[in-house]
Amino acid sequence: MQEHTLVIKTENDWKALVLQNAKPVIVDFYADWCGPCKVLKPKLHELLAQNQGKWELAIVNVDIEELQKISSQYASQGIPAVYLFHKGEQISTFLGNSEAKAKDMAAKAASL
Amino acid sequence: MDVEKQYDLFVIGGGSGGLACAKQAAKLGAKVALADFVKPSPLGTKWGLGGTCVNVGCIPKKLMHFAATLGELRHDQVEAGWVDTQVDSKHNWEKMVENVNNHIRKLNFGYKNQLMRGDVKYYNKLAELIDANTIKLTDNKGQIETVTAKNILIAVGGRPSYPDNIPNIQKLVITSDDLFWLQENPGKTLVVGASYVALECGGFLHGIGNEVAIMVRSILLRGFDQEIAEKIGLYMEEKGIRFIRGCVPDMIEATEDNKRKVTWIINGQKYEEIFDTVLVATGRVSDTQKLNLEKVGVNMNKNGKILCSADDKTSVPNIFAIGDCVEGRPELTPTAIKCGQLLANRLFNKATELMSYEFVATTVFTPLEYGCIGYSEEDAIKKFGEDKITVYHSIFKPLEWNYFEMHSGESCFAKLIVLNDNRRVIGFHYLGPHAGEVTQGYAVAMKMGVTKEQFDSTVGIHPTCSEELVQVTAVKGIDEAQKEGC
Repeated sequence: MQEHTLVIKTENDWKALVLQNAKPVIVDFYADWCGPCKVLKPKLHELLAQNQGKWELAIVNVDIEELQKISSQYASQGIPAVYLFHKGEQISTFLGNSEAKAKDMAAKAASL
Repeated sequence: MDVEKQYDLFVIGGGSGGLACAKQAAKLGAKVALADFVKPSPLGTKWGLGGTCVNVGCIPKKLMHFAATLGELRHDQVEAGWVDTQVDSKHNWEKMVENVNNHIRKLNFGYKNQLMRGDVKYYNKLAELIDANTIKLTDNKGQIETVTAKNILIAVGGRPSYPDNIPNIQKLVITSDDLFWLQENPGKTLVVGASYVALECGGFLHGIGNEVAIMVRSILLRGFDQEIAEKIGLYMEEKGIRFIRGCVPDMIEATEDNKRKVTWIINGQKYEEIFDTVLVATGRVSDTQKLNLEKVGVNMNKNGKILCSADDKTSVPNIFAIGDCVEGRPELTPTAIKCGQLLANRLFNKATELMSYEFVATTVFTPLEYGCIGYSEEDAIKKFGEDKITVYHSIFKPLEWNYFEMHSGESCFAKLIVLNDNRRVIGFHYLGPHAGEVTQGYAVAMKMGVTKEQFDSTVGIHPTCSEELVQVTAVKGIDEAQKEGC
């Protein structure tokens, strides 16, 4: 389960693994100090395990210096901030630890 | 012809003052940028956006002080009936530091977002002035960029200073810059200094179970009311903190097992002891050295503090300075914040209000906390004359302290200093639990010119410690401070 997670470490990772990914990608912006992020993470992993390979999960640690530009763009309202990307386009997003919104996003990702 | 500048305001320093001014200026429509860069401490400690208060000051200090007080409460818990409380269970430093550091990182993140959402351009780069309108910015990889601004605000704060009589001291000791990010418990600690930083840190280190000694050159809490300062020291001593008075370290050396051997001399007699850690808290120095201020014409005093007029202007008309780096300002977060906001209002909203530093309330978070507003007794005597003031005093014991018998009945203390001719309360001093919470409200009254009679006509909330302040009648020099009986 864990090994399917795309860990974004550089701007190149972002381009290659999220924007240029052939499959839909759900991106989780999180931080180690963020309580709600810790609660949401396993729920996203569960949904990933159930998706039969239809979409990928990428995680972005907002404290990584190299990713500041991207983090400021997508995580400025708070975290956890979760985005659904497909073919480089942002399809949907939700903010905060919400199992319901995560399920909806997973369903949408599977249908793309 | 004036070349248009990139920014209306460029702020150097992302601490309490700088952030407040930048955000307010941007709110008023100015084009604002802010540069914040933390130079690592000599031991390599660094941190994020937010300045001293957020990262290595008020915030971690208060959290660690709170952790220590929670330990002390175990004794009260037992007497209040709780079963299975372990009064001598150990404290886990790593857990406390992780939680404190995570909270700080959350604040760093929040400030970054506030700047972004407030349209303030944030540079995580070290700034230096080229001229009165040009700033050189260097990032941590050494890359340089230059920007221009109509107005510049210097809000660089300060950093801990080190004694200059010991070789290699910067690598042998820690300061408050390092303490709050230490990944391991500092162990048996010698605190050098008698500032509130020294006493607060020594206080909570002892409170979590460490052996602590505090080395004091002369008096405690210089600048604060000395009667209260000595009571604070006495309380800490009674708790088990050792004070080594009347000296400074003569030598500090690393031992083979990386402890610290400290030598000092009192009355010609040499003393020596091994500590795990030496924490130096002997003062702070303004962080203005590498800004190139002399070349640009910004005047400073010999300690590097910038000289400003009451409207925060430096000797260069478009360069302003606020906060800890300015001479004569209290080194406090709330005054820097307010000052920054008022400056932004004057620069970009045609306001005229200047910052007032009168009757600013403050609290020292020593094991027994101390809240004060206005004049110390010494300052009141110096300014007005001993015969022009009346000092009221009271020793009291918090009701909650009656569960655990080891609580002192004589440590808590309240003092009001009253000007005789108009009966105005010009000095407020509270030594006791929750001092910050107790003191804050009284600052409003003092700013409004409250008199002793207005205090006396105010009904107290019972049972509290705060009510002591509206009931104190004993006059120093005539009546004893301690009440007889109930």
